Amino acid sequence: MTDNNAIVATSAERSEPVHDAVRGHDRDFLAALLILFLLALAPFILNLAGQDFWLDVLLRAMILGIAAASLNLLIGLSGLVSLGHAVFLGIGAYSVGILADMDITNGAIQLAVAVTLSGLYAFVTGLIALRTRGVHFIMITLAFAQIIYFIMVGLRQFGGDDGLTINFTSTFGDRIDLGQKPVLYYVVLGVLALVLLSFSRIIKSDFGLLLKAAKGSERRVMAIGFDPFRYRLAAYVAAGAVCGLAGFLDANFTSFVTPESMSWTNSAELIFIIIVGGLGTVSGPILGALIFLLLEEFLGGLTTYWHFWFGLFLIAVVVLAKGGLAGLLNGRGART
Amino acid sequence: MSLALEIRNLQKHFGGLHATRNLSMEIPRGELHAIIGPNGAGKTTLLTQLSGELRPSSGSVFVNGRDVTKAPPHKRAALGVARSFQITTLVKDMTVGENVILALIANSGHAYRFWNRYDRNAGLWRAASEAITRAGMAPNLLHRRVADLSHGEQRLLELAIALARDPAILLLDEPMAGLGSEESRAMTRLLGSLRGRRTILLVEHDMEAVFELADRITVLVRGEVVAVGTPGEIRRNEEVREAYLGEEA
Repeated sequence: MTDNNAIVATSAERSEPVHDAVRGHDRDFLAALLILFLLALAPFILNLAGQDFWLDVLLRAMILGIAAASLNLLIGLSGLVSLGHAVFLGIGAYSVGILADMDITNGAIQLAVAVTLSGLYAFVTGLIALRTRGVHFIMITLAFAQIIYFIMVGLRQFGGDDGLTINFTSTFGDRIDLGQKPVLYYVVLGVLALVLLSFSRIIKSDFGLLLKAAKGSERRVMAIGFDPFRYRLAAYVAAGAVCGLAGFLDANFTSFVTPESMSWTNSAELIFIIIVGGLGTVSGPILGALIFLLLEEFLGGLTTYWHFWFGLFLIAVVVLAKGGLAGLLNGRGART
Repeated sequence: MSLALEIRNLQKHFGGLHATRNLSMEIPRGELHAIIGPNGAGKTTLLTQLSGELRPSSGSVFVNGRDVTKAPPHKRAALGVARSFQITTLVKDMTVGENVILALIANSGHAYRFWNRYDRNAGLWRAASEAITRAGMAPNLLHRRVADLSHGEQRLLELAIALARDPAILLLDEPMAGLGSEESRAMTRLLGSLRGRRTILLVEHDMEAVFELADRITVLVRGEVVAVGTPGEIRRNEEVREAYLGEEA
């Protein structure tokens, strides 16, 4: 079976290799579209079935999917493994929480603050972290995230480690209030669609090609005349800003923000999601987030030791499907 | 006579090891200059200092009269210096075409384009196809993954990428290494066709190719220049014969 596939693949590569590669990418893209479509229908179906609880699970999955997609730009495309990415979720959520605490519920202002602060934090820490590679990069991103974590634990006026309850959700004008579940659901879905579409474009753009090349051979990229540092910094700031946006949405969903949301275990969770979903793929982040939360709900209902089974599942995916679940959809490991 | 490349009193030591000793060279525009010498003579170390990946301990490097001693590799590349590597540094999990296209994108000055589709840009792929054909590669290799290429094809691709940048100065680090005799001859022909049109600094062990191609040859031993001259002069040089060429010449 495997041999057969290999033969088919090589002969296909010999005749029309571009189209073969494009088809793999297209299947990934179509999977993303299909998931977005199903997510758009889900509220109606779940409402008919009287299972509104699952709507919350899907909402959380979509928010995590946005955060994971932003991390995918770093890990999947650029080879930059950050273990501090959840800090952006916290920055975005605290922006909403602290501003709401000051009676500023204007969504546009909150969003601008969330995204700007996240981008700024990414820029400043990126200037330092991106001078390192591999394990050192992991440690520095983690260290910066821990600093912010402990600062928020220490700030009593914002709840310290008890967290901050958000009494007012974000509003855009008189008509859009993210406190209304259906509104929030479709806003989150819209953002997710935009983020996934952008990712699918970026991986086929000059910028994406350069990041991919710098991951594979930094010397080559420099010899050709590019400074990889600048492009990685741009990617890092973009990823941070998008994850800050996810944090903004998350605050409106949970009406609550704690330093715990920025903990390194949350960052690790995001890494799990994109590895299970498929590194560097378009559909991977949302696929991984859905699987992650559905398994959590499903296994959590069966046994209190669900983490054990979840761990086994992770190992199985990593060992059996190198390209993640999106890779399986594409028939073979999705290449990036 | 204008100099494409000038090296003044270059020194590089790693601890107690002197890899480059007070080395000066002048290479006029359009010359194909070969650097030969036994293993450990510091040939690659010299090339690496010229491409900017290694900073010399002292001395300076001028490209077209400009002091580039402190310029990083990407800045020198922008000034028209291209290098090929002894150990290939191609991006293995990308296709041949993508590797070349990267160089073509560099020609535009930057890659801050987030929304274009390089994979659908027919003009770009045509240019990439021409670039590999010019380097003597079969056009049907364009969509092959680099990891699936033969060693010889990878060496040609190294050169194709360097040439795609349309460089004024080419630094070639053993382009013939590991090639079969047929491939070596093809590479020699290719380099010969570039002669006069670009300034080429060629580090190479294949003496047959070196003596056929070079306008001038510098002999390096233990980081020091032992002799400089035309192939004829080098062949007759007693000191060089003793130090290095032996019966080969």
